[in-house]
Amino acid sequence: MKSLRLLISAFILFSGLHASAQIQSVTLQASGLTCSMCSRAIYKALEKVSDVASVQEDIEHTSYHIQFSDPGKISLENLKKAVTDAGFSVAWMEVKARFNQTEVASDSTLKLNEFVFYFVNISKQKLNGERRLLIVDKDYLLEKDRKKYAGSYNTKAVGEGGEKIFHVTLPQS
Amino acid sequence: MKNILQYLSAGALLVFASSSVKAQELFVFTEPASNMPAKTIGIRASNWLMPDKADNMLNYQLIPEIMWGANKNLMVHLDGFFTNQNGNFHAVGAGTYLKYRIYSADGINKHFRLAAFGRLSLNNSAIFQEEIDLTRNNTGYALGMVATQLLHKQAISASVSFNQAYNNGPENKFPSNQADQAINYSISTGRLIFPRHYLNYKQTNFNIMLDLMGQHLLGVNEDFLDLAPAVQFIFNSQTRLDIGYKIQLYSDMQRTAPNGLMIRLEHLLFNVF
Repeated sequence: MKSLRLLISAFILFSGLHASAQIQSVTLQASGLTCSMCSRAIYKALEKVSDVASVQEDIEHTSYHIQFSDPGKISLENLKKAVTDAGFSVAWMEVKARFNQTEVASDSTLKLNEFVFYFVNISKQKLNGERRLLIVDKDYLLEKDRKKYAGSYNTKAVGEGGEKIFHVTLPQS
Repeated sequence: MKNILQYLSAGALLVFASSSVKAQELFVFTEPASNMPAKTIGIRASNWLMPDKADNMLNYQLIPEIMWGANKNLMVHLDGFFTNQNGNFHAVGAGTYLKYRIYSADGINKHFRLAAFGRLSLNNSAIFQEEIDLTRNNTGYALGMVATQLLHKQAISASVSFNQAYNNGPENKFPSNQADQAINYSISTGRLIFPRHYLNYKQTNFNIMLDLMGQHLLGVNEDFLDLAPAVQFIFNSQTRLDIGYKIQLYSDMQRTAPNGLMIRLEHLLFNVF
């Protein structure tokens, strides 16, 4: 009986996890620029992406912290496209999400919002609280950094519904 | 001629070879290999004040320009050429400039860009000089390449182009005793003086720029070389004011107004389309 209750509460907890594990915000760094006019062009392009509520810029480090009016409708591809259309590249992009006892390991997948995240280069662990996931796919990470992960996943993998799979790892710091 | 070029190129590089500077590549007299952001429109008015050696007058030339970032790789300029030559202020021609980014490698605060460009200009003014200038005096076309390297917060850019001049309409034929083809080349560099640290987009940027521009007339083997220092203010990360002076360093060809002051105002409109 006791074990059944545990199982039920575990089940409730588990199903609750997926509902609560949602992307909170995205931070990215752009590469290939120094001037504030270039930085502002990226800022303006990010602001225009649909469902972006606010963009906070760090001009010195050419990075942008993006929050959404409806996190359910985020398009990571449109964020990347905003940077490349402005004439620059994405040096790295991190997705911040809140977790509660979410078990992850290399080669495990996790569905957050409408995205399928595939974990690479991590040890088996439970994620708790706000954690950042670093996207390691091509055009989302500087090539020299991406090469460290490139051998550890199938770059052409797509989800069951044909959706893009984002390969992610847990950043060091 | 060659010595002057080598000396100046080395000098220009040395002046800007301090690793503590932040380079800018919004050059005043030349175009970098970088493009304008897609869906952005730039409006530009370049004002030239040049003492004319032939008639001891002060030439005023206005070049209004619309720039459009068609996509992330292609940008298009449309410009008009106006002058007060012969007493009254009037239009003498119009032109278009296209730049296509061929290659780009980005890193944090660094990049290398390579672009191809072309210019087509129509001009109906009388031809009084040997210099071929497709932005002010000649009908013709230019095709060229430009490479820009930004490395450890320094930028340097170099370009080379082939220029072909034609008759300036039926009334102003291209003089048959003059060379109608030229190779243009340039080396440009610049640096940010202020702000030392970026805090917000409202900070006024102050840059200093240096362009070295030359032309070699094919067939007759005549050359000129100009040095053009400039200061640049960027307001609100959106509006640009350039003030530069072009000085002739060397020339063995006939030029009517080789030196002059240039004042330019430019404003960017983001996400127009």
